[in-house]
Amino acid sequence: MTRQTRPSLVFPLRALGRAALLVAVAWLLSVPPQRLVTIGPPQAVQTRNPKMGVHTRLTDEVEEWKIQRTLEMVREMGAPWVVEYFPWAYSEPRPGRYDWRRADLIVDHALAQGLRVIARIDFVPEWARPPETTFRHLDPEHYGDYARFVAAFAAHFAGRVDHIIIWNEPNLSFEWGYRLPDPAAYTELLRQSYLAIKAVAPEVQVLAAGLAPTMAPPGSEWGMDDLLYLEAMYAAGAGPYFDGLAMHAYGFTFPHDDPPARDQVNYRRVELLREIMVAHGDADKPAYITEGGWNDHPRWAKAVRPYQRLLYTIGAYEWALHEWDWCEAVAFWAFRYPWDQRTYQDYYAFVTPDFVPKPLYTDLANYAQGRPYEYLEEGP
Amino acid sequence: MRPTRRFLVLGGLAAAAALALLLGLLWATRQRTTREAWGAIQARGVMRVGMDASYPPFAWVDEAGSFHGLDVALARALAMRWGVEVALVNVHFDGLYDALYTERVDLLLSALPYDRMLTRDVLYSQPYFAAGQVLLVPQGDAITASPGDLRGGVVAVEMGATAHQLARTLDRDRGLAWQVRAFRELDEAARAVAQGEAHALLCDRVSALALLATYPLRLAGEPLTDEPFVIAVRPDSPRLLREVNAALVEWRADGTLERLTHAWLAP
Repeated sequence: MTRQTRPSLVFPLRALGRAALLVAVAWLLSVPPQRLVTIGPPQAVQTRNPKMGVHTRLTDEVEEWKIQRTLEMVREMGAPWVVEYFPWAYSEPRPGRYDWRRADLIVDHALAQGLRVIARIDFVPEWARPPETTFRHLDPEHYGDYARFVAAFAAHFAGRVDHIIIWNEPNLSFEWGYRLPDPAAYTELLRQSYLAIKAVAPEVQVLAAGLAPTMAPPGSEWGMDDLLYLEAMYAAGAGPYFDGLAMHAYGFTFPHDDPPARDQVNYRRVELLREIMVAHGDADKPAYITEGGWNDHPRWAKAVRPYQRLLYTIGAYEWALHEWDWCEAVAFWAFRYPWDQRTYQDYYAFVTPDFVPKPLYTDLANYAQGRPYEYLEEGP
Repeated sequence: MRPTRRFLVLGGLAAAAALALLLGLLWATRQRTTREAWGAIQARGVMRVGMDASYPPFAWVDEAGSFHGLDVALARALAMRWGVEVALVNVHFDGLYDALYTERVDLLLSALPYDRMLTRDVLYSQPYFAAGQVLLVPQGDAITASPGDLRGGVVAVEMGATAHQLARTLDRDRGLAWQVRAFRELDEAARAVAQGEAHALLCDRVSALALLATYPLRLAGEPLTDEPFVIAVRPDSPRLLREVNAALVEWRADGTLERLTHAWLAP
């Protein structure tokens, strides 16, 4: 008996199934994933001190819910101001190709929490610096690139970000690409940036960089005295090219009310910077403390004990509120890191990477809301 | 078959290209070799060590400008072993890695915690010190060797310190029913344990070693957290790393590392 064979349907059906599966996978891959986090309704900060702020470190935070939770906790603590770092290299990876998605995410969440954002911009992309240099190295021929970028940033975030800081601590050599600090060169960078921003977003406030408080001796290869640097900036003609001055106010081992002196680096050293501003006719310009505070590392010689840190920090916010009418905001370093740094930097944080509040956070929230302290026996 | 003229020309070009490639590779290898910090140290006769000398007892500078501390002692011991001078370069912690990248220094020896985020940027040595959180108990307590042995006990911490957070986390996650007592000063907390007002003190190992010199306490078990201190070199300096590790291995075996650690951290 011979068997009759019919054309099999198995093969074409399998092929069809595989093709359908491929199409489905391709479709799934092409559709952007649904957002798991929503911005939420607008919130408002409740606080008795409207100058309170923190420097957040969301630059390298990967997960959106963590960005949101960080900013929620800032609001819940009672701080209306945040300073955030927006690396140039992240948003302009190739010349003229802007990618604002990440910066948008941070700014939108901050605004939803009722926070005001001060943007600090540096971090030179590889295409704008020579090989084998650090990401803080910017040569004068690329000042125009930086200025074009900060202007694009200002235009994109017009109405959302009102303050932009031009660079960071240029009086330190490592913040200046491991070259000698150069106030005249920085002034030129500031001038080009100011003009570029004002051309596209005249309402944005351009802040000159916060200087690292340091008493580095003249000629030091590591840094330049911040007071001398500011004087040199004015001498180079910086005056017309900033609307406000960012300041860094670290207390190190001294209490918040320790008086300022040229040979002392403490919280109130910023009063000396202010004197220089006033002497140069800038009394009407505000200042913004965009870094500062105390560290409670157990061994760093410039740190204090956690209890002292709590006492001084509350005292510092109070000091700015009552004593410094020229100071708009006090944003202390650094609210939270995305992961443990495992260095002294962790001891500047207000909450841990997994959002556990330190006693500092708890009692600052109590201070801002006018509630009794949990850890402090009495206020400063 | 006789090779054609075209074949000879193409063959010649290919051979020239191969030679150029070989020369290029040799040049690149030589470039890498000359950047190796070990060779530079030997040629210079000086080892440049980057450190932030504001972290006693690891490194600090006295009023006369002299460097002291465990890291300083290790740097000097390395230099002596290699027959070179040592130049200690005091750099703020934030600038240490950039100082290494830009070849201002040959290595970093600065109570440097191992950072898993930087393992593509630097080469880390073996640990030379473990700086985790530890438990201290009274010398009369011969039993306690782990947090579980303190179930239901009173644990003293310094308010706001890392140990404070860890105590609360351990208590919560392991159901230890601890009563965590936070003191304003670490010494107050140690005194409370020594006087029997608390069963144990939780603090970092560096502080613990110093407290052992003052209070009748003992370390209970191994560190509860892993915080190794390491030495860092540039990725183009594997020979230097091998030499550093060889020294650490030898010093660990012959007791030098323990002796130096004890001398500076538990005097």
